[in-house]
Amino acid sequence: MARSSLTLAASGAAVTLLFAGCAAVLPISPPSRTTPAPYTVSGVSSAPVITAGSAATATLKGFTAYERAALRIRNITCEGVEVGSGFAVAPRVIVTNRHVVDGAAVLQLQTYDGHDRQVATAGVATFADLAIVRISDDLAATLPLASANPKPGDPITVVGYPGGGELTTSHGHVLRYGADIVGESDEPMIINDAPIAHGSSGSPLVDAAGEVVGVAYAGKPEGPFWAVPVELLRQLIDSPTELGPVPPCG
Amino acid sequence: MTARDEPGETRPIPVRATGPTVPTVPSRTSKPARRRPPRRWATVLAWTLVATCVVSLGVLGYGYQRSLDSAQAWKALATSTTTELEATRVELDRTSETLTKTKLALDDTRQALDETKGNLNAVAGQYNDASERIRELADEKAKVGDEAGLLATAVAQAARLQDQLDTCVTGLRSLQAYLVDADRADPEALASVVAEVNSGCDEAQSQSRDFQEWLEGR
Repeated sequence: MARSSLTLAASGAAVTLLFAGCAAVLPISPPSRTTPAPYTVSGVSSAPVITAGSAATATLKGFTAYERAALRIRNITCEGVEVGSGFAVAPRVIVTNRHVVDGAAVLQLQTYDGHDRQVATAGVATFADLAIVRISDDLAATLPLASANPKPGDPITVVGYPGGGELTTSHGHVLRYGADIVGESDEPMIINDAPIAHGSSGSPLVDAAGEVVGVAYAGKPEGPFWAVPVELLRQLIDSPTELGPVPPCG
Repeated sequence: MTARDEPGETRPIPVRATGPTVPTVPSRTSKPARRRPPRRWATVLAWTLVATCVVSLGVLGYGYQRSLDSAQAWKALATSTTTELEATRVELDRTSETLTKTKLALDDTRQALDETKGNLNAVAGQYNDASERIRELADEKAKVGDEAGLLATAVAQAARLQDQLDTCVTGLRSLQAYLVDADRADPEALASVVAEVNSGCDEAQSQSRDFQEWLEGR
């Protein structure tokens, strides 16, 4: 009798303890909130695709800044008409070659779009095949001069009127420096492979930065071609006393 | 009465007889009758069980109360979450509607952009044509200017040639006058004039031929 009572009591105590243990593991408090799953938005069939720059498909073939600064020079001499090229370094200052303006009875300038410009004065250099022509009206576009001569291998662009024809742009590289092919200057000249022809004389050599690094003046028919370095041009512009009168016609 | 002497054992307290003695009831055994002492461990166990039950009931009660509180918190959380979800769903529906409208507007804009792109291409084509035409016209004008310059040069050269021919004719007329009265003229002077006139006329003829060839070459 006592043993069964003892067993009963022990069982009761064990059950009680079990309940008490269960009470300890009950989910007492709610779990912390978590971010709900993304809501699926209906009504939009597909996301629009916008390609950057897709509107810029039109290719404009207008005149480049180099072309806008270029001029066609007509030299009417006693014997005939010579055509050369030039470019503006200031609104009223044109650079070209000395042999383009030599013996001029009349000098006529025409812009890239066919407008005429009235020549005010002209002068030629004695130390290189360079000339400065001043005009009466402002030009809209000019080309900046580089501060130093180009290095061999540098890319160049030449803009001018080869053969006295349409305004043409050609590309090439500086090959090396060498003696003046005409033999009229003791200064080293730029030798390059940007194609030019008769009529391109006075064309600017423009580097990748858009700055003038030389002035084309001579070449062999199959190349290479010669140009006056920009440092000589700067010397002429900085020292107006280096300019002499244009040799007269006849 | 009994007195504790030793644990688990009692023995009767001797009583001094002061009156008539009452014979004691003989026991079933020959040994004197002794009461079985209650077990102490049972008492301790009983108290332990009682204490355990009381503590367990307390824990159960505490747990029950915590469960009630937890259920209340869960219910509140569920209510607030449901409200928030409903508000979020409404907001998402609004957003979806806005996106749909935006997509329609974007489609319209894209269509307008395509039309603008087409117009731009057309304008670019016209611009390119105009630029090309300007290039051609500038070249044509330059060529005309060159021709005009050439003509000016030709006119100047023709004027110079005209002067030379006039000089030649003048010289020939003078020579003719000399020859009419040749007997009175100095033969050496006459020969000099003839040579001078011939030289000038030869030069004029040469210039004339060169000019004619130059014109033909043009």
